Amino acid sequence: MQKSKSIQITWLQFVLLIHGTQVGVGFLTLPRELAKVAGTDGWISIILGGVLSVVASLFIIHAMKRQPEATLFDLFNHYFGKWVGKTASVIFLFYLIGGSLAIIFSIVSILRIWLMPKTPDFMLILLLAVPTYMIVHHGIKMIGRYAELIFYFSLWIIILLAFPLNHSHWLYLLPFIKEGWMPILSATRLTILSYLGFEITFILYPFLMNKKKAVSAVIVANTLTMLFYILTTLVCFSYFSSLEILQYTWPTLSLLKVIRVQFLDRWDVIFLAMYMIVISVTWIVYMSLAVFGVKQLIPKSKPSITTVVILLITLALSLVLDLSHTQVTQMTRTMSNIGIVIAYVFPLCLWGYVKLLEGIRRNHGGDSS
Amino acid sequence: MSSQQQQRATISNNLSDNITQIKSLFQGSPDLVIREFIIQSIRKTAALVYLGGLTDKNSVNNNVLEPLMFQLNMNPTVSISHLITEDQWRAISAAILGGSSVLFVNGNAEASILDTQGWPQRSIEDPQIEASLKGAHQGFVETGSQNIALIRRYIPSTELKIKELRVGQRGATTVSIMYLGDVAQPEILDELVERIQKINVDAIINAGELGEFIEDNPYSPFPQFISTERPDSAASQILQGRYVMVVDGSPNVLIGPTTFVSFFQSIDDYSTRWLISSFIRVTRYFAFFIALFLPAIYIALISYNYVIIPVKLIISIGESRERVPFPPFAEAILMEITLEMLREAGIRLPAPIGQTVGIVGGIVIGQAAVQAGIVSNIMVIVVASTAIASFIIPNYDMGAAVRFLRFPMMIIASIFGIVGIAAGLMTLIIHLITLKSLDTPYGSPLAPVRFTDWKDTFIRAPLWIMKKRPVNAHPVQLERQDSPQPEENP
Amino acid sequence: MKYYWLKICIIVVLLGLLPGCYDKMYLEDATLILVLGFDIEEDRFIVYSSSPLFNKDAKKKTEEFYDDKPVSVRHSKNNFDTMSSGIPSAGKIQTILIGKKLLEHGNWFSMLDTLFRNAESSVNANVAVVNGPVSEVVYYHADDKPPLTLLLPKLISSSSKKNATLDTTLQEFHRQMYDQAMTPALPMIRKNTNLVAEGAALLNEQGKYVTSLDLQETTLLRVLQRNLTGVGSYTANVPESQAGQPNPIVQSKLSVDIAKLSVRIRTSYEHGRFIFNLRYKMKTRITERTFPFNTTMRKTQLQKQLDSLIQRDLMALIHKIQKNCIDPIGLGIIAQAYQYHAWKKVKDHWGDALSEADIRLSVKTEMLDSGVLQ
Repeated sequence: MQKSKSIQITWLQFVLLIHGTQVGVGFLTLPRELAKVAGTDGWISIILGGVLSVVASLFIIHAMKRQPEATLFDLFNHYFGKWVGKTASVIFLFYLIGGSLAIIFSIVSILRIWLMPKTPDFMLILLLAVPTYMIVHHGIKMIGRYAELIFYFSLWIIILLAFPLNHSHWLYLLPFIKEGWMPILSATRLTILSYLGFEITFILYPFLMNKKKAVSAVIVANTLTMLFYILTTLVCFSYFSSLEILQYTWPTLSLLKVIRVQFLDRWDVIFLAMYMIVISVTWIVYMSLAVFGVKQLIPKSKPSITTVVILLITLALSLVLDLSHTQVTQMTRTMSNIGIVIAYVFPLCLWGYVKLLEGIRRNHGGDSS
Repeated sequence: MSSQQQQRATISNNLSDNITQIKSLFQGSPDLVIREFIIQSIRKTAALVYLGGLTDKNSVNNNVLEPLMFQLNMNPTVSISHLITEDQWRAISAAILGGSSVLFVNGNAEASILDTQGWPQRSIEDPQIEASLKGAHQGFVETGSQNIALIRRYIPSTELKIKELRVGQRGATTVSIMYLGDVAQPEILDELVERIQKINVDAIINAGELGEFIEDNPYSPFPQFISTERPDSAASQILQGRYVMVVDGSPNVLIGPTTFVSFFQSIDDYSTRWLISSFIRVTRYFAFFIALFLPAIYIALISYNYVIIPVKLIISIGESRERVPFPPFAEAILMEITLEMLREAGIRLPAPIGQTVGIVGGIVIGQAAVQAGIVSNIMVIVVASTAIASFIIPNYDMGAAVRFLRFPMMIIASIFGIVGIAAGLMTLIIHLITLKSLDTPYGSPLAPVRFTDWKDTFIRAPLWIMKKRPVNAHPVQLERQDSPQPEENP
Repeated sequence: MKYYWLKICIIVVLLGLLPGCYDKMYLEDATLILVLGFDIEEDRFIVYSSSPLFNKDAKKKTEEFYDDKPVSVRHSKNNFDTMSSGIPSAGKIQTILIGKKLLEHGNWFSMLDTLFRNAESSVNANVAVVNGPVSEVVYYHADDKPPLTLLLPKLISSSSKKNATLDTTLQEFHRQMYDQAMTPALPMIRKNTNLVAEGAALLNEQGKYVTSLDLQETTLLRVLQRNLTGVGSYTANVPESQAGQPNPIVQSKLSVDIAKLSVRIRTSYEHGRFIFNLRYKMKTRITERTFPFNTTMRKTQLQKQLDSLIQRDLMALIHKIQKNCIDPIGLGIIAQAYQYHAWKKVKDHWGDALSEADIRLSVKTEMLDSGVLQ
């Protein structure tokens, strides 16, 4: 399937799409989760998680390389036959939609707890549905541009993180590897959840303009995410004492709460509102890939209608389910576990399968000639 | 329509037949002049036909009638610069309607179209809306050919091509697309021509009408073509590889494809020192956000997120809000609508009275409203800064879009507070990303990010640094100059 | 445009769902609690609050409430609701006053839970201990002073800028309470005729009042904490013998500004006790000298004298801290960083461990200048 030049994405867009999808709600909760398991050495786990996700991304690219113009949905059909392929595609679609829903519900529940305790969820979802609809049905190229712009837009968060440095205690980070490597390794399992998002390489790869640079792109994207997480985690660890950080559900937000400049207090409020825009990349990317997938499965479907349907489902779910924070956390956890399978285990299997298939073909070829 | 069906396609060689035909064609046009006379030298009857108001009387009298009627040599000549012969009625009637005079000679099956146009027109004046400090003091006028000439004066090059199209069933308005043949992207021209040819209307009176028929997204509040009355900015846009549409009869030309940021550039930027114009540009973007969000932020802060305001300010705002009977949203809407009414009233009134309206509205109403306790002090400050900020944007259409958009922003802020503003900003960003102008991205160079173009976006880099044309219009020839940086003398 | 009607329907339905404005609370309708006070009076827990009045004509710009039978802090916020003209909001709390009596009671920290749990409430509030009843401070009103809600933060921040007292925000206090390696210290104020800052109160790990420091000691505590903001001023009584002729009226004083402070702390763990080696280097400027002395000729002598004076006072402070088994300096953080395994064993009773620790101190000053006089 030849992709016309008009829907190809540049290297930078590819990088920032992956990076944008990776940085989600994890940015807000990761420091606490890490501190719980690995104490202040958690940042080492982030590096390990980063390495793992780079490796997994490389497997994805290797598996996709054989058919550079085919998306995952085509590959499913190609390798597993029509029916198994279709089923696998549907499962993947459900994962994409589920991931997008999980992110929307998470950010809505955070917004509700921090800013608007009385506003019902569906109102906030309604508010977010309008811009989401406006971009999702425009396809992958626009999403790429959005991710790119929002990345630059999000850079000010780093400046914001510099404010608490006045009051940080870097000694909290010492000594490195306090309790040996075991806690660090077990925290790595947590961090790889935060890197979820690179699995969109499965679908984005065919759209990349210069396929040779795909390897550098995934490395850069994962490294960017890693740096972002490490920065946040280090700032949080040096600001909060090790027992205190466990108290906060969203340590990053609690950290920003203390920022006070001359003309504006309470940067957590401003940050959270703006972070909603940053995090929107995650759910928008998932959702538009889902819409793209539906288009692949049902060629007759119209992207705009699909988008409306998905958004209406989201809205209906928020009306039907009373989304408490625990429920949302549970949902995110479930999605993450599925994500681990799809992003880390599945590429390995696919790669092995492709290798195996090739080996068989080669043998057969050798026999016949 | 019936008279047109009767007519023949070509003229006859009988003068009286032709005159009857003309008369029936122009039935009900008392301004049609048919001057019958005898050409002395060849002793033939002839008729000069023209529309009274559209021709230059001097030219007709001195250059056409006088030599024909009184010269005795064998080949009488009319001293008219442009002369073509024609035998098609359709072309002849079009020429008459266009202000030419047509000479019919008995026994001749061809008529001569004489270029004697001379309709009432305004002299070239200072641009009214886009005043400039250092730019040229010439504005476009209502005559297309003159406007083309004004642009040509800046680009005397054979590569300056003009594609002429006629739009409208009745009006047949001439639309001339001007571009640099070796620079501008031909695909965009094809797209543009195709869109213009699809238009099926009576007539295009104004450039703005044309724009509305050919723009990419009619639901967007943002202008998708720059409409300018300055030949110098039109010329500079042509040099950047864009297309300029000159609509005959309109003192504005349309420029496309455009980008969002090009509405924040003014021709003055390039004649002011680059540091200063960069500073002014940054101010404009700042003003854009002020004009768009300040009333919304006020509403959000007062009704939801007052924790953001520092304590000292919160007390003084609280004190001034305490007497106001309306909720912040109503207060803001009231003042903003008053402001819009004042602005609109000021435009329609003659300049001296317009100023009075400004004074009465701004000072009297503002002051009195605060004293009467209808609005708070802070609100007046907010409204005033919004108004000033919205007028800093150099393009009128963009300023109007911003003024309009702040109302939805206010509504959403009154429902969701600062989260609403963030969602509004997100919607705006998404709209700008997905918007296109002649199939080129409107958000360029921000989305897609094109760093080479940033030299002329938020700042205006020194001209010798900007060696390339903006990528957005996909110019065929990207390099525009190669001047060295001025060297410092030791 | 086939789906035009569908779009319109959806938009209409969506608009119908927007009755909106659930969380709306107009600023002028809110009663912003700017000062919150906790105290024990006659064995009853009392919560005080002070809020600004948004009224230009009112002569008194604040209104105060108290609740003498609160079930909890959160509950008393609801009680304030019934008393005030607006809806109380904890979003802008500037100062939290805690009565010394309540501190002596201990185990009060969990009362503040609601302030941390609620996303709305501010954690930037200054926490201060009131030496005396809190009601005196909350109901303090002077015509020639700004209202209390503005006065208190100013008082604390200005004296903290001079290092005369501490600047402990609620967040910082929370950190100190949760940090096992240190104990909290809070600024202290009292009401004489005016409100005055009065040094610092030191608490133990449970948040119970242990001892207090005067202004000079507080400056020295900040020196020990390596937490000087700007310059710290230090005034020493110079012993008569060193000052030359005794002067009965004017005592021999030497005041210096500590302009720059650099600290090297070495820690080790030997024979079951921690050893801290603290080496302070200071750059000072003489701001006052009330006894005759030839500064140019005998500069080194003066420096040495100053070294021993500062060292004496710092050592006294350290002994005081050790005696009380607390650690407001944060030496525990250093021990944790460099002697983690030893620290881990004693982390639950760090104060006791520190009291047995061997703390060695050396001070070296360098005189930058002596003002415009010799």
